[in-house]
Amino acid sequence: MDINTLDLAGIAVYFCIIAYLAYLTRKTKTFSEFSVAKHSVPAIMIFASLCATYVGPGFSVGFTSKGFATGHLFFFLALGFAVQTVSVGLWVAPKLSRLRDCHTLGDVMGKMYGGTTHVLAGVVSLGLCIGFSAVMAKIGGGMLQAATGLPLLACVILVTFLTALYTCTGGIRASIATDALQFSFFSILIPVMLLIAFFKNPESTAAVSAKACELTSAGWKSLPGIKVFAIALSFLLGETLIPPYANRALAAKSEGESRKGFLAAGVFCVIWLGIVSTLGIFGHSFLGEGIAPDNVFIALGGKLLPHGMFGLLLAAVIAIVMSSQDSVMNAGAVALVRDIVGRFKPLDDAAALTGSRIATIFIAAVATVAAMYAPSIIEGLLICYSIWAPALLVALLIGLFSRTTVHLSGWLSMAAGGLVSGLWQTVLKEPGGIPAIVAGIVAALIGYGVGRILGSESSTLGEAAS
Amino acid sequence: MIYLFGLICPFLALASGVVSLFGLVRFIANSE
Repeated sequence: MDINTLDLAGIAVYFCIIAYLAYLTRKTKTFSEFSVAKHSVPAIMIFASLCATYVGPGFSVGFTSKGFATGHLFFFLALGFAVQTVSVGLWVAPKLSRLRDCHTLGDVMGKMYGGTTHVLAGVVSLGLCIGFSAVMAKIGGGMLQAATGLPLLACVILVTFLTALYTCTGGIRASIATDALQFSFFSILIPVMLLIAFFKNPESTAAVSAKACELTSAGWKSLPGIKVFAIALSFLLGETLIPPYANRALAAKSEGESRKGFLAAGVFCVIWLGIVSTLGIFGHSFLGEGIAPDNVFIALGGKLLPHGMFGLLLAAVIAIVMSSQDSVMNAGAVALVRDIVGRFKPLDDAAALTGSRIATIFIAAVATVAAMYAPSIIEGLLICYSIWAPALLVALLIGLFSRTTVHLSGWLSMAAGGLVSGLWQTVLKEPGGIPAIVAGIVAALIGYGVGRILGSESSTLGEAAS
Repeated sequence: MIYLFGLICPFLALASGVVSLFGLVRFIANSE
């Protein structure tokens, strides 16, 4: 990577601004402030924070790589994610925002289905958050190492513990504020890079259009139908209402603010995916055909941006990582304290706040170790994603839209969905090409139905949320 | 398609980034 002093100065400026913003948002006096910002977050911040969280390395560097290899194919496949975000904004997020006494998704599940489901939801949330945080630590550390030449361990620790430091002191408020800054940073810089590519393009626009069609068509033909279905389905359901998204709905100032934030984030997703996949297509004009798709994003930045600005682009990539990592760290810490520890040993507000801070550092430490020493961490996270929707979504959505909920159906649905999905993927290796998420959702629905018939104890939270 | 994604979308994203910056300033001011 061709980096000079100006680029390093750009990266240093980014870290200084983040540290200053963390200092401004450091004061957190109650657990409610730490976990849901006292339900006071406006729509614009919900929007910016959601976008900063879902735009991770996959939705930036990864999509440019896919754009280079398969044109706009993945843009179309990933539209399900935008549809999902808009749907959540229209129908689910306002219902969550109405539950003012809930701090986590586990709380919501616990209110609908009782203690066992509350703990199960906490365990799944924590596992997903730790796995996600470890993957981000690995990618962010790798980027910083490539930029600075420092040892990988030092880079992983720098990125992860700076993120943990501001998340630990300022809680979700610091996470949302830094997310908004990081979002502004990359949503200005990366589109500027595409505009430079558009205007400096050595080929005609018609030639680029033809290349986009050719790549998309070839990519489409190279994927079997069942694979296309599985990828589209994982974009549609895989990340639906994962803890950091749900916590933003719970933290919203009102139902209306929550709805507006999610709707805008869904629309922005379409714009963003169009930008990053098109960058990949322009890669052919500027970089030729020999380059590895995964390197296109950074190589294009080096080619198009002057020194200093290229450093800012590297900082923007680190910002993309940190903005996703802080959200999952906060959500994981709150889930550990509220949904797991708090269920066995009731904690007062001060103890819950201190516990959440310690839990944030604990998650950062586990993520660092996993990032350095667990080679299959990405596979582990993919399994978590395939388990998430079957384990939680079925019971959560049915519960939110039902008048009464039967406790047995909650944990039976979670256990059946999570187990079948996990086994389908890891032991059975997805027989017949049927995606694990589909098998898991079917099992979760059956489990839910059986629980509904056999169970007796019930709650009426659905009425409060409807 | 290239005009939409290569020219219009970047300006929409830029506008979102700028609006978010203003939102952040208000959020910090209200938090103080």
